[in-house]
Amino acid sequence: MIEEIIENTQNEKDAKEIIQTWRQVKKVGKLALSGLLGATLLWSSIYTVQPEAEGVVQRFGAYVRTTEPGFHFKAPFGIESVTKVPVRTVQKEEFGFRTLKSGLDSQYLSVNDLDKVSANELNDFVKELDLKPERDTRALKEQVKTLLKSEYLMLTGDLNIADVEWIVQYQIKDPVAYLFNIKEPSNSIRDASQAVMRRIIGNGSIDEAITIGRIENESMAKAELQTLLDQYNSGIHVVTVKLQSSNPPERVRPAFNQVNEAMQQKEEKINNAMQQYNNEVPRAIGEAQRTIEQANGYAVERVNEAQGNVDKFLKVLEEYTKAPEITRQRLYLETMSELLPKIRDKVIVDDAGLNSGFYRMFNLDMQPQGGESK
Amino acid sequence: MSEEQTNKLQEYKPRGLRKPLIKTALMTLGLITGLSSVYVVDQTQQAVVTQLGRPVKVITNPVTENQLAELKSTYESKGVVVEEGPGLRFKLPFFQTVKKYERRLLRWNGLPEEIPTKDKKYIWMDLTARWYIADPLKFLETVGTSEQAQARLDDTIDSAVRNAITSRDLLEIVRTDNRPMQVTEEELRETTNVGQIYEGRTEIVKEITMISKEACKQYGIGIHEEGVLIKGNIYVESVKKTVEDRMIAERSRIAEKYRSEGQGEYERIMGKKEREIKRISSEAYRTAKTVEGIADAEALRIYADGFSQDPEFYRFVRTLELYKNSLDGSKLIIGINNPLLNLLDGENSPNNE
Repeated sequence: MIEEIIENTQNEKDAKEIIQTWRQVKKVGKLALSGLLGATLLWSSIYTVQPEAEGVVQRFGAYVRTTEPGFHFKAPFGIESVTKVPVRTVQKEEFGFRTLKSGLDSQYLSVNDLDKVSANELNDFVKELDLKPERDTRALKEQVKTLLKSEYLMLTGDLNIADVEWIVQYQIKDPVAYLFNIKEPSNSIRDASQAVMRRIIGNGSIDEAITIGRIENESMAKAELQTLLDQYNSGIHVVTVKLQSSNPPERVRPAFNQVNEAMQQKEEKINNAMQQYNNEVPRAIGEAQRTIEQANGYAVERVNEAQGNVDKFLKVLEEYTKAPEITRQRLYLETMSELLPKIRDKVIVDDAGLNSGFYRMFNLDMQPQGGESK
Repeated sequence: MSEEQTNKLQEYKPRGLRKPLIKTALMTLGLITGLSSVYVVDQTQQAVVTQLGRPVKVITNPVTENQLAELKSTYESKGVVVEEGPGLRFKLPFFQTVKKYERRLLRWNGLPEEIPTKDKKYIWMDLTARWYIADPLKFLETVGTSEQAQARLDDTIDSAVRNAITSRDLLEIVRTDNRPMQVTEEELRETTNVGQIYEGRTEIVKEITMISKEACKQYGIGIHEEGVLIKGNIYVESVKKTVEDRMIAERSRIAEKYRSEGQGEYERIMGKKEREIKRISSEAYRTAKTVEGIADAEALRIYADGFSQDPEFYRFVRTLELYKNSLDGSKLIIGINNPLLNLLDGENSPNNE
């Protein structure tokens, strides 16, 4: 092109100018090019590793070294490439549910709360949960339901069903192994964790799954999962396995609660009975003692009375024996004089009237023991 | 324009513009040849080099220890070079082509399948397996691609699973060993009596692994020893309903038992209470009556002792007292011969016998 311009330029001066301009353009171009080259060189030969990560460097695809956090150099232009692996970050996998939003008002994606989840929130999960994209939210929710159910529904050793939801927290302990030994490592964690949890829940009773065995199950699951992941050389360290919830199936739950209630009712009933027992028996003991004391009182009273009466009689007798005749008459008359004024009507009848028998009951001569008068 | 001018101008011609076509062509050719004679095997890859369709080199990156030795013994006699290690490698340009394969553990994920057990319980089985390309050359010849491999694994493992499950009772798939199960309440003990297992889950998984492994060998596919995982085993919906009904019935029965036990215990304690109260009060009554009896007897004795000193006088005094207490305010009819009136005759005194 330039040649053509030069050929076509008739004027030597013009031609010279053109050539000179061309040289300048070339100079600037070279400079720019080398600058660009330099920048690329620099840019492709330095890298930073964030504090939570380690850098794994490969030269032509082959692993060469691992670098700590900080600023590093590598061979440029794709000769060496670096993959940063977040070894210090604790990562989490959830089973039977998913966290939609974490924080103070955490929101979860679970079968029971599925109605509350909006279409938008659900769409964010389509990829993560590996769902078939679907425009109908209801169909999408149905998919989520099936997926979550396949995770949390478990068979227990006594052939019952338990709903088990749990999380696994893990860290990458060996970034090289993590990158180069296993494809889809997070899926491997998921698969292995599910298999392990299922095996453990399947070997125990429903009670062990939902109440008494929970802590053992957690630690057993952790150990087994670690063994399995080590056998895969996955470079993964299991930090913790935690059961979030572990329940009998929704429909059976009331029956389980009923058992607890019945147990409490039983206790309550027994307590109630014991309370009554403890209330009434001591009272009865008290009352019994009262009865006995009363009897004792009666006994003392009776004996004392008797003794008193007898003493009185003996005293009187003593005086009486000194002058029986006169005392006897005096006593009789004293009594009569005391008695007779109190009687309103006094009737005196002769023997004939008396013998009619009608008045016999009034006969003063009759003795108390029914003795005959003389 | 003069001749001289033209020559001068010629000198100014940029160098790169001289013989441009040939130069560019040569450079391009060189570059292509260069690129065609090097290749990169990533740390995650293995590769097979073929020369006009005939395999000449296997570059492996062994997953298991003896994989390299096995490959060497299989192929070196056939003139195929077996080498280990990723990185930059050279080959003959154009004549040799490279096919790269994954070397990492790969995931096979089966579709959940409804399978009846030997005791005719229908369950959904969902398995997954870890596999790897053990022999890249054989893999290239028999399978070709990863997708193809998935299909082969589907066939192989699915049939192994189906055979293993249909020939066992459900319990064998659920339990691992015969460890006695724990219960919260002894009353629940009977619900754990579901029978003994003879093999158990681990054994069955091992069997599936062995069979699949053998079957996959011909494809150059290896299956990890611990690679087969039962990811899901749940009752089909209809069985689930029945099981839930049974669980409800079981628990209701236990709840009922607790309730009636509570009532029974209540009644027992109430009975004990009443017996205790009756015993206490009757004992007290007995004691009281005995005490009273003894006292009465004592009183009688005292009276007897005292009054027997002069029974006649006693009778006299008591009679007077009786009169005093019983005769008042009423009418008194007295016979003319009554001793009270004797004094009226002047004959007798009342104490005359």
